[in-house]
Amino acid sequence: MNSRESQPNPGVWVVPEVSYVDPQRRFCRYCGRPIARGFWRVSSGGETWSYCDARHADLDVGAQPAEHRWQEDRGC
Amino acid sequence: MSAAVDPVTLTVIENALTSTCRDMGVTMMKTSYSPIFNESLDFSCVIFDPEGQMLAQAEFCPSQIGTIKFTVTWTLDELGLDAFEPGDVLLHNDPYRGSGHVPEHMMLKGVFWEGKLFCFVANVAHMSEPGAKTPGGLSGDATEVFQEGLLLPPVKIKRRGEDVDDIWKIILANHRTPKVTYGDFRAMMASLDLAEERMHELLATYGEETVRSACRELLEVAERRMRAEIRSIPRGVYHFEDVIEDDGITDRAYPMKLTLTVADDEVIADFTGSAPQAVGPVNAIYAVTASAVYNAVLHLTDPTIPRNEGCYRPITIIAPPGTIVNCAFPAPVAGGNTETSPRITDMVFGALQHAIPERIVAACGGTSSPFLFGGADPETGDLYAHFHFEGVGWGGRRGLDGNDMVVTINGNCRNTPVEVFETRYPSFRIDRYRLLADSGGPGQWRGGLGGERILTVTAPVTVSALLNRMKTDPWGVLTGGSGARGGIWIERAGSEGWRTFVEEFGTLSPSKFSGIRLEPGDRVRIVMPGGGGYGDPHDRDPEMVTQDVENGFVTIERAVADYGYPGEPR
Repeated sequence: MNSRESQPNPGVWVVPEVSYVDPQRRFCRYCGRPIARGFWRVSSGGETWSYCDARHADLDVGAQPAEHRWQEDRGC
Repeated sequence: MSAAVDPVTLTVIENALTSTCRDMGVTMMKTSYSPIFNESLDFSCVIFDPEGQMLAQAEFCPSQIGTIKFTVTWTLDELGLDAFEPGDVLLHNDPYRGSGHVPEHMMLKGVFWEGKLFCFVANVAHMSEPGAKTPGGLSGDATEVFQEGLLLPPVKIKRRGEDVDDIWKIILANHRTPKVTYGDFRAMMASLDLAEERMHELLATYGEETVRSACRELLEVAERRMRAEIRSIPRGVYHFEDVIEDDGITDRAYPMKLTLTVADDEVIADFTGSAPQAVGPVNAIYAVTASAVYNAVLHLTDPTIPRNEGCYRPITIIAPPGTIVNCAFPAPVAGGNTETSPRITDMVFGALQHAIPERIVAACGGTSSPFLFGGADPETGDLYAHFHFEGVGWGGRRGLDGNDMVVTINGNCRNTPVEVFETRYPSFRIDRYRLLADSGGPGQWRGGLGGERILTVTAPVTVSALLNRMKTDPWGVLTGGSGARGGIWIERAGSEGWRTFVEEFGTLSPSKFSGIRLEPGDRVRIVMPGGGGYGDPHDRDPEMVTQDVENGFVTIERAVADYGYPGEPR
């Protein structure tokens, strides 16, 4: 599983304000875990992805498309 | 870098932490109002460090112990540590903020030492009445989480030691049984107070730095030992599939797929390919899925490893959002924690049956058999509500038959004794409660027996159910046979013969429904599934088959058909 080498990703740790009026429901793009608040944000090719942490971004970015890829912010 | 703690002190501190968690549970058992607390023990108690790492737990409800780490870390992430002051108690039950399902309420209290936050003590407990669309919650035909009870994001129910009255009012106004909620919440708070006191004693005895160092070391020990255990499992990629048979709203089955990778000292459980989330309440949130996998791995590894966050570090769970194993808001989730959770744990065992046959177990009955009811006491007029669950047969495992009629592997709870059931609630009389012959899957090691309960309604009552393994078998392993399925039926007063709830009331599912009103004289029959068998039945010791026949666990007909009885003694 994820035998490819870990690679640096151009991400940044983001801690947004929590809003109950306009709740943002994010999931880690790698593992699917719902993100409570702070997350590792990676922008690439005009897309922005959220991750639990940099490690999960390392495991995901650059991976070949796989069944478990899903669209970020698709409203789920 | 702190100095290493000597092994004796480390062990003493480890046991002190675990004992504190156990004492928290005893406090809740002794001081609570509801049978689901003081009889069923449907709660768990844990200690966390300020980073949200679980330091210790006691042997209560595995599904809660796995999910509470997500509930607590969500709370800490959302609020930040600065939000906590001495005497604060946080309350939280929102599944879309990390709780297992709506009835499970988590309370969290910071333990301060010399003016600084040292750790958190927390408990999570299943409230018998969460303010759902039907008494007891777990409405089998819910289509949104909002129908499953009052959602509470992390809020302070106590601030600096004082009740936050507005929060209390909101909750008590939304629960059908405010006295019970009040009493059970107070029991949870007493449990936290006791833990705080115990932690202060520990810190006073050993000093902050020693306790802190010990906690760090215990996390490392647990991780190191868990990684070593995982290394003993043959490397490989293992697969298993199972299905949730319907969702209470549609007759659709929801397949779940597991790809389990054991790579050196890590386990990755990937549920990619599982069905989209269900319309009805059988969805698991991510925390429930993760908890079920943790539960399985803990069953397969050395039970003496300290039970803390370190155990979980080598385990990764991948669960695509919008699926039955990681549903998206606002899907209903009640049964994810009672039905889908044990199915996921079983799937891990199923995946590894050829890799580590000496450690795995066949499928259990796979349902908590939630049977919810409530109404008004005809004598007092007081409202009551209860979440009753049943045992099932557990799967056979090498060297032992499955347990008979024990609550599923994710629960570790007890059901409500007949005497308590009939004393506390006016609505039912228990006419029959027994093990069912032939319900255990045949095998060299037989599956545990399921059972049967027949209740007669004694006062008007509203009932709901959320059962599984009514349409699919609890599977055996390594050529073992399947356990028997379960079911629930009704016989109306003045009529004869058992009918399904679909036939009698037009429910959408025979086993998942809510808000059915029953009248005195009606009878309900619930059958709990058996466990799957392990190994070829013809390899079973003939003496054990004879004993099964003599004990009434297996009929002669099935003994002949499944085991070749009578066989030659070994």
